[in-house]
Amino acid sequence: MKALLFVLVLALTARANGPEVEPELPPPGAPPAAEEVEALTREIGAGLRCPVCQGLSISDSRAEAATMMYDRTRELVAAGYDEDQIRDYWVARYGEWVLLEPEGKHWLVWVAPGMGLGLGLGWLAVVVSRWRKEPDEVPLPSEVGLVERDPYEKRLLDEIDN
Amino acid sequence: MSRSRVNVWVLVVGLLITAPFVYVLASGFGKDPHAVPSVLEGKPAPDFSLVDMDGNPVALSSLAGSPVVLNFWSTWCQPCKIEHPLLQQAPAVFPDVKFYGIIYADQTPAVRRFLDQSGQRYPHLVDPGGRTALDYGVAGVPETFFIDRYGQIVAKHVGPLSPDSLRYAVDLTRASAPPKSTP
Amino acid sequence: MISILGRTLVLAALAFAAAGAVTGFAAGASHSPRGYAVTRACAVGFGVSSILANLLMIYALVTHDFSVHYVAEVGSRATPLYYTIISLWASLNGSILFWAGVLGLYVVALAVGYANKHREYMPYTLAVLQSVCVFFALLVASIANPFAPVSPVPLDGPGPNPLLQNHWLMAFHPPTLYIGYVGMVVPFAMGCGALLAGRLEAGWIAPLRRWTLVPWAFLTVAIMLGGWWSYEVLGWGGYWAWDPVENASFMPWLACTAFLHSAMVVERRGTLKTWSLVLLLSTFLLTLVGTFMTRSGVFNSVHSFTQSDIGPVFLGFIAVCLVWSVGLLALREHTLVGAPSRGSVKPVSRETMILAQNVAFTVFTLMVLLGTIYPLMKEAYDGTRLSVGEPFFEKWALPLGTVIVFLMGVGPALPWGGADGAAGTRRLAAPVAGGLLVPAIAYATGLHGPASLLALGVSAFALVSAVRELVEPVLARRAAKGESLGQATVKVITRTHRRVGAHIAHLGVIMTTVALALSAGYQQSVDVTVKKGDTFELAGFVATFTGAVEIQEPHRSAVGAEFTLTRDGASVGTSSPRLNYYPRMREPVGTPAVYSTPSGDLYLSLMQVAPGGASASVRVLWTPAVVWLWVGVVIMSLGGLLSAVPSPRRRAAPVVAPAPGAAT
Repeated sequence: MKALLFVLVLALTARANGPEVEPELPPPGAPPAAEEVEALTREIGAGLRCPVCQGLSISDSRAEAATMMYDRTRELVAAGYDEDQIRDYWVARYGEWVLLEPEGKHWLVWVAPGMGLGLGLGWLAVVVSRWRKEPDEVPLPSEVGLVERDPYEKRLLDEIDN
Repeated sequence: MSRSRVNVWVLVVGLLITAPFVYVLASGFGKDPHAVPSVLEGKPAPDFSLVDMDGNPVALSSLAGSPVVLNFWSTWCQPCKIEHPLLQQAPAVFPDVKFYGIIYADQTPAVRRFLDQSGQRYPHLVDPGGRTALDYGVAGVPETFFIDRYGQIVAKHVGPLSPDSLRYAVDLTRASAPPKSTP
Repeated sequence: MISILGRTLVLAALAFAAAGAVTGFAAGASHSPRGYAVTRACAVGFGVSSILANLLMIYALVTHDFSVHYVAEVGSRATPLYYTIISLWASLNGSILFWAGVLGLYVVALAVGYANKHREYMPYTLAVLQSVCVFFALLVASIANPFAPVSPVPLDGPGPNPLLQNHWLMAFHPPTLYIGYVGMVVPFAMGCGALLAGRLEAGWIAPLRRWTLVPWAFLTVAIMLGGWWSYEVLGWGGYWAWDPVENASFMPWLACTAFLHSAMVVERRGTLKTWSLVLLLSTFLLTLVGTFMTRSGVFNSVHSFTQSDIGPVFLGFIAVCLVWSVGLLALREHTLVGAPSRGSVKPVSRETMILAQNVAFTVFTLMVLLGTIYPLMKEAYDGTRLSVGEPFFEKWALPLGTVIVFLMGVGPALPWGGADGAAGTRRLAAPVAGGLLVPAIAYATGLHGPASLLALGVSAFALVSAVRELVEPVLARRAAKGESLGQATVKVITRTHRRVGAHIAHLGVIMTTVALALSAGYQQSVDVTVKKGDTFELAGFVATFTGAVEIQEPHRSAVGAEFTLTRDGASVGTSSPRLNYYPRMREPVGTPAVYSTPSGDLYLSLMQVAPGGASASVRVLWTPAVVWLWVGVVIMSLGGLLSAVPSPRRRAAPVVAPAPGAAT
């Protein structure tokens, strides 16, 4: 039963299967200006995973494998390939694993926190409205003196007492 | 008052969250989280044309018709040195299979020194910029690719080869059928 | 000899814990004072035996007794004494022993500290606590036995993992983390105690909050120390990579922080009890999951040092704790009846803001959890691998973090019960002004990143709010009682340390937020290869490569590159990043050189030195404001500790509070 539900949840996210092996890159667009190449490479590299260090991106890691990937990425950037093409290029070689950020088809991982947020806000609204409807405070006799004070001062004393 | 009243809602939601969670954590056992999966198995091997240590050109496309074993290695890698003696014997044991070493992120003089000591029983190719290694999705060394006579990658082995794993993969490669269709 | 002694202590600890757990549950159910006395005695027995076992292991390490399995595994005669002592937690079996030792400290503290208090809750609390102790004692006694004898006795050992002996921070990060992590078992047990006893009153919430704040404060610092360590050692110039192990320490922190706030609503209004307990129990469960992530080898990580076959056993324990927690909540939740109504709450109120804070923290926790385990889920489902890394986490963390800091500014400005519209607006005017002014000034001085400006804006907003909360009571006291400023300040801090501590913690959060925004948004970096005598420039610094040195130490060798640094023309010293070579490691472990200034760090990470030292390749980074990140987190933690100090019993009502019973 639980397993079944779990499979259902996952089935929603499963469609993607292995990328094409040899992406025929279309002719590159206009190469970027030379001074932009490094920044673009760093930006694209930040989304690509270093294969040996595992947690880091190839922009951050200076491991041998990451450096080679980074250099190749720079070549591709300089030749005018855009970010999507470069990502496809690496996915074809290392698999989807190489992308640090799951693609849109894994929408569950993207949407679930949003659903959590929606549920949470709904819960918030329910609790707040319940609190609001609670009968109005009947001050204890000892509190009467307080209540008659300036509301801010009451709050302050309240705090100090805390 | 204290007769036990079960909050079914808490129970159901709690179990719905926790049971799959434990299942997922348990599913990770027995797998190596550091292994990078290969997406290339069963796919055509990326072509390359490189030169060996003596300057002779080698292109994968020119090797079609016989099984090929590509071993990515370097002199700074200990496991590579462990499997090296096995690979040294391999061309004699499997005469129908072509063995190539591809040097990964290493200095040519260091490789030459190493090969001068051990003897060069099969060609070792220089891979400038690691381009071929990147095409094969190599994450670390040693990695060994087994390519059948039709140019498809049949298997990938990560880490040092053992005699059994080598024989198994070579047999698999020899027995590989031609690709289904695709012009 | 040590093997036998150690084993005896471990078995004694196991026996004490088991006996204490059984008598604790029985004493809770039967309200038997004698049973409770036995439970407490067992708790002390467990604590003493497990602490002695730790001391014995340290003794074995220091005396290089290689007949003890763990010493043979991590010890080495060449390792300096300092690292020998801290190798107590360098490897799996030792770290579980250490875990049991820290557990022992907590158990003793609780059993002795609350000997005669909270009698309805304490037997159950100690029973749950000792049940957890049974599990860890069992681990130490069986599959993770560090005291196993070795035969033949080796003459020397390999030494601890190089990453652990590379930096002095490693002496502080793990124990701090353990004190925080293990400590979460105490609030867990106290929460279970409340459920089992079928009551949760303000009288129990106060100690519960205190016992949560202590591990929280340690966990807070531990997370920072972990980030600082990776900054100082891993050489990529960052401090947080959303690595599974980092997430593992972060998730319980998030859940715990949410609980600390919701507990205030429980105290004030007597509601949200069940929800608060969900957060509390989740905190402990997340520490277990986090431990599993580091120890099981199921997750990959930059620093998963320890892989072992302990994973399945630990997962079994997690499953038991999950079922226990869910079952206990489901069966006993109805006993936690809310207090009678304290009146209606306006939507714009302190309570609502705390609730919103809870939603933000819970979503944050779930997001991190999902991102961390999603690759495993995917692989379990269809065998394919994918990654969820920094870009994913940051897309969620930035908006959630911004909202959290914003709420931190709104909440304290609003009174409990709510303000009417006009009063609320008046309270928020000053923070809003600050929140607009600061980004405007920053923009004018040349900071243009939208994310950084937003972070600065909400930080300034929250800052004005927090400072006002700290200053106003002082001024009010001065005006009302004619005290001097100093007197009033001291009185406010000593009399209301709990809220002062909370606002100090908030100031720490603000400092951390600003440091995060600046360091992440304005980092500059360059990779250079320099020959001897060459210079390079970054962020106003000029560095000259003066040569390479080779260093021999007993446990490692190293190459270092020497640079002289000048800033704006004035010499500021030297910088010597190095690469350390350990006999056990193929690849060198770097020690980047960090030149810290209040405005930022110049960070040199050595990549390579050409043979003979003719040239060196370095990665150089300028990261603004990093220092304030560490400082901010420490302030956060100290604020939490200040807030945890027990209040002295209030004598006669102070003059300012005419109604002692009015609010507690």
